[in-house]
Amino acid sequence: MTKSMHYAIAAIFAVSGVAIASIGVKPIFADLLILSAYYLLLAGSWNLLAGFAGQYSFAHVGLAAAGAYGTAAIVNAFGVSGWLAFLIIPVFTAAIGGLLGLVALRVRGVQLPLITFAFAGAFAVFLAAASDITGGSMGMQLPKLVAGFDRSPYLILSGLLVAAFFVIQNLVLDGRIGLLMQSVRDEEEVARGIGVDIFRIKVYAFMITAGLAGLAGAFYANYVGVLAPSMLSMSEMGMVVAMAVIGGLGHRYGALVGVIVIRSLEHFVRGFGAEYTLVIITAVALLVVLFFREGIIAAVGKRLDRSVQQRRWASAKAS
Amino acid sequence: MKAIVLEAAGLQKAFGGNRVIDGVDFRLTAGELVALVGPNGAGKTSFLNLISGQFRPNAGTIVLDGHDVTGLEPKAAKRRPLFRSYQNGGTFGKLTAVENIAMTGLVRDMDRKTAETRAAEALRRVGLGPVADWPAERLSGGQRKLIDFARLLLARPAVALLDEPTAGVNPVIMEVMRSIIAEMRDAGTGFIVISHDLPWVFGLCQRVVVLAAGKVLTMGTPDEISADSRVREAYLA
Ligand SMILES: Nc1ncnc2c1ncn2[C@@H]1O[C@H](COP(=O)(O)OP(=O)(O)O)[C@@H](O)[C@H]1O
Ligand SMILES: [Mg+2]
Repeated sequence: MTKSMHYAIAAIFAVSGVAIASIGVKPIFADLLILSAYYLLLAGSWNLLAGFAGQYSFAHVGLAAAGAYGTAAIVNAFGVSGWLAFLIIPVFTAAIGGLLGLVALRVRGVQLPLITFAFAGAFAVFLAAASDITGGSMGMQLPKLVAGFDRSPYLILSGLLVAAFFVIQNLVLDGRIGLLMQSVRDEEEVARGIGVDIFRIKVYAFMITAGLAGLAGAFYANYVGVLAPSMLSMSEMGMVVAMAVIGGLGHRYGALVGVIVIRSLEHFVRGFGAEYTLVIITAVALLVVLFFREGIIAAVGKRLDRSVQQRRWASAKAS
Repeated sequence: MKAIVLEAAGLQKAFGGNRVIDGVDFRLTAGELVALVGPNGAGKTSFLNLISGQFRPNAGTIVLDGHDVTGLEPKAAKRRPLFRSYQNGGTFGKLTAVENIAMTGLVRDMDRKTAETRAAEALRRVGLGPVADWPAERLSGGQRKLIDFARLLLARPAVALLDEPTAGVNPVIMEVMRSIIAEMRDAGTGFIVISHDLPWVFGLCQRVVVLAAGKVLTMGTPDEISADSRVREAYLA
């Protein structure tokens, strides 16, 4: 795909949000779409960090939670507009991400997943314990961004945020940092040897993706209006990872495909109850990983590749 | 008198108690090509790793293009005049052939578009144009070595260190490599080339340095080295 096609895809999302909002959809369907935008931002940015920069951090939903609770905090305590949170919060979570990047520089192999996992766990415990501020498991409330029950503003916002995510991702992947990130992922020691500034690349990768996770969190807080520590549970992180992996880790549209597959599944199996939803999704994720190791996009790509080759082969034989 | 582009003095590197480079002095002038030969495990690659900054020496100094670079990381600006290739190709598996070569431009502050344009030219020059958009992991070992070699064309360095560039490469491409190296050498680049293909590298170099067990065993012209029985013994040791 050419560069302009990638930007066209971003534009399609921006326009779709407006279109869906003006046509109007059932509230349940609108909720599904709006929360899917939240998951796309999360799974997409985690895919950038893990799939493209090779940094397997499990603090990602923790960062989204930091962004969501941070939004509630500044809205409640300082009366800051929820809109302003979209600007402030990504800066805040990017700073936390930068610190995680510094940690990532000091650890090897499985240590990073473990440490980031512990970070998220500790944060969840803190949110539950500091119940006089966070409301603990009862939840922390904040006023809605747009008063009333009309979902159209959130649908429009969803489209814009998804479009913004793809624009940022395009800028990263098509720029210098995109290539440098991938070199660190593929062969860190060779990258260092040829002069890549590993320090800078890791810190930038963590900051950019943490900023996006924070943006997702700010959106979530502004939309849902009540936050509980369950938003950074282990199963939430597992869900985000599953989305990226099912679609294709390290593929530009991997998270998008994963979000569509998993969110649709969730929608159709929701009648069985929440606990079964997770079991079914885990089973599907396992099947995809077993049969298409590099995710759905790569599997479809190979199928197409093969049919093109077969056609060429056939026409070569015929002539 | 030609300018000295690289000077190493008293270089030492040990891993645990194992001294892999044990007191090496080395000097390279502009436009000079030195063949670095010696048995497997002699420390040839380790010597390049010290010069390129990938290893930190335990003792000794390295002066590159007039600047003391001892202990500096490979990313240091003072190391820009240096290029090195890798024994196993040093490619990034998921990146395409073009992107792999463009990396060499990026770390020299080239913008991505310029780097990729020049990388594509470099690829065509070594005969890999048709696989420009293939990920390196789908290429053969010889093709990956060729990608690594083509990076040299983007770097245009003062000093180039090549680690067994011809291993696994066919004779036609070896000839392409020979002509590119000769051209850059004559334009003033100083080369250290490790190779087990003695006829090929002796045809390019002015001087041969024989490394054995981390020490310089002997050095001389290709003719002198060919006649030296100690060299044969070192290879068989
Ligand atoms: N990173 C390393 N850690 C420990 N030992 C090493 C390392 N790199 C090289 N060595 C040791 O240094 C010695 C020389 O290796 P090397 O420089 O690769 O030899 P050559 O390139 O001449 O075949 C070997 O004994 C090897 O095991
Ligand atoms: Mg070697």
